[in-house]
Amino acid sequence: MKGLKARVCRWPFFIIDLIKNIWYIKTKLDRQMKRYNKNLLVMIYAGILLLALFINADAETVTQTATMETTVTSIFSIEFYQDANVLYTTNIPFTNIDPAKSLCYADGRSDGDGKSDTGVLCSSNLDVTWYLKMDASTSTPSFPMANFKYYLGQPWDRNTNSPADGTLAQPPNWYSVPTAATVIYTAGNLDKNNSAYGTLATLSYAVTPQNLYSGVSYIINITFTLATSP
Amino acid sequence: MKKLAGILIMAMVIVLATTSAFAVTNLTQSASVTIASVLSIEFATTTDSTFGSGTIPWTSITPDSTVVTPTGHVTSKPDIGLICKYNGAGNWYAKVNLATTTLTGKLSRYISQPTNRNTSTATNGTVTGLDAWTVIPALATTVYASGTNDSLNTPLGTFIGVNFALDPTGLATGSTYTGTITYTITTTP
Repeated sequence: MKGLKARVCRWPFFIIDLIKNIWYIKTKLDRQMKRYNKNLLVMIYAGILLLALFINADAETVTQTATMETTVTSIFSIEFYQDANVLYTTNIPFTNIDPAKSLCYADGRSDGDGKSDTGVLCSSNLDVTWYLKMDASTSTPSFPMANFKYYLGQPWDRNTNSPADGTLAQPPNWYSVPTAATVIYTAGNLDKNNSAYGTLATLSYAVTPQNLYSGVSYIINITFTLATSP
Repeated sequence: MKKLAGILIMAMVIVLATTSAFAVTNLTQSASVTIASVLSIEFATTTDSTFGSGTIPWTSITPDSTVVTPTGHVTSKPDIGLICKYNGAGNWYAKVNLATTTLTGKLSRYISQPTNRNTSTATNGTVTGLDAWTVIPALATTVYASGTNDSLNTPLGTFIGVNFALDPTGLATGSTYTGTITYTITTTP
């Protein structure tokens, strides 16, 4: 009882001490915050000042330099081209050709139809003269190679969309396909470097049926060669 | 000095290596060819023969010879021409026969060595009764067997010129006699 009375009587003094302590802490924090805020403001101002100085430094000219470096892949390629008027790529069929005719065209072809049998797209960025060659052989020995003929007109420069400036080996006409690789076209000064779209050579073939037997399937193998030497 | 020489040699090697290289690339395709079969016989036009495909006339002949050529016959070209074409393996044979009831044994043919029209040279086939008057039989009989240089003869074929002669002996005046000459090409003799 005596202890309880004593504790009850000390309560107001405890509360007063608590309030005093809280006020002290607050005051101290207030001072510290003011100092902190002040420091923060100083830093912000300094940063703004520095940024302004940086931006405004030499306002008349700002230069940036960068070094660009690129390499161009060499292109030297030959591939088949095909569209609605260039009919065949890997095989050209002559099916049941008429033996009474002197010159027979591939399937689906007729004289003056505005089409070609095959297209060969030559591409080079080597900047040296290139040569398109051609030769043929047969795996059926009874086929006279002189009976297999080709027709090549002036190739087409697909970059300039005009006739290529190179030279045909022979004027456009029907010739027997050579049996050894022979130049049929030499690139010109403009199309020797013909990337990106290349030079297109379109050819047609024909067979003379003389000395050809019925009931035999003749196979002729044709090779195109793109070379930088004639 | 040695170092400089070494550098120069290296430079030459590099230059030589660069200039000796060349580029080549290939592309291949194939063509497949088959030929339609032909075994045919047709008449030559009147450019190359006297009567073409028409009737061979003997008009108002005088029976003073046993070998009477047709009316209108010329020596510059045969009476008729046969163009025979074949592109199979092996030989072909041209045959002739006469179907008639009144001229049996009266009509003869004369055939010289044929011509390969592709080469414009004489063939090396065999004419039965070459350059001689031979009576045309009633049954189809070989008059020519192709040779090695005209068994395969497309596109233009082999030209066989035929002349005819009539033996009027025993034929009545004022009568008209007809016969049908049949020409056959075959692969069997």
